[in-house]
Amino acid sequence: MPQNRKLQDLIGNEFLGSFQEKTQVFLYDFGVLGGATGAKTLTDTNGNASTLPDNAIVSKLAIDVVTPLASSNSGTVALGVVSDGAANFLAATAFGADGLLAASQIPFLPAVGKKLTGDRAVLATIANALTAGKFYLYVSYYEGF
Amino acid sequence: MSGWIEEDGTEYVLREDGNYDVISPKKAAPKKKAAKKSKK
Repeated sequence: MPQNRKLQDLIGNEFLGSFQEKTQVFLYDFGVLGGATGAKTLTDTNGNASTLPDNAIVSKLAIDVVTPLASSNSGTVALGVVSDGAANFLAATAFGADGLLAASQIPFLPAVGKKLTGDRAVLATIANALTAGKFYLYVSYYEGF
Repeated sequence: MSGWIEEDGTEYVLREDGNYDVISPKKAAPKKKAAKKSKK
């Protein structure tokens, strides 16, 4: 592993300057959260509650689908945050569509840019139940004022 | 916070397990057309 990569892994968001872009990772795991219709509160990678900070300006997103989403109906998933827009990151998208495939690990922009107005949990809103799936959502942001 | 309403009227209601029920906005009932007066 290159030395600079090692260093990046050691430096957490708390050690980055206030003008540097920060990233948090959120997990949707069907095995834990289930796939019933509704909005699921995503966790950190250890399954614990996690929120984006107040005033965060979300700059980009990336999704890492490790278990493909599945649905016996026409399941859709929207991504966003509590109160400030449950579909701000990704509008409702069919479970097999490009936006929710492993290939979409390339960073994409939020569907609707918005500055958060409080500490906000990240949501995956499911319509027409899912029957499988696991993904990590990387949310990058700047600290606003 | 126990929930909120999105701009499109969709309501998010917090459940005990920390997730949310999503309630679609109610569609307004179509207005009944006034009965036409028959010409005699």
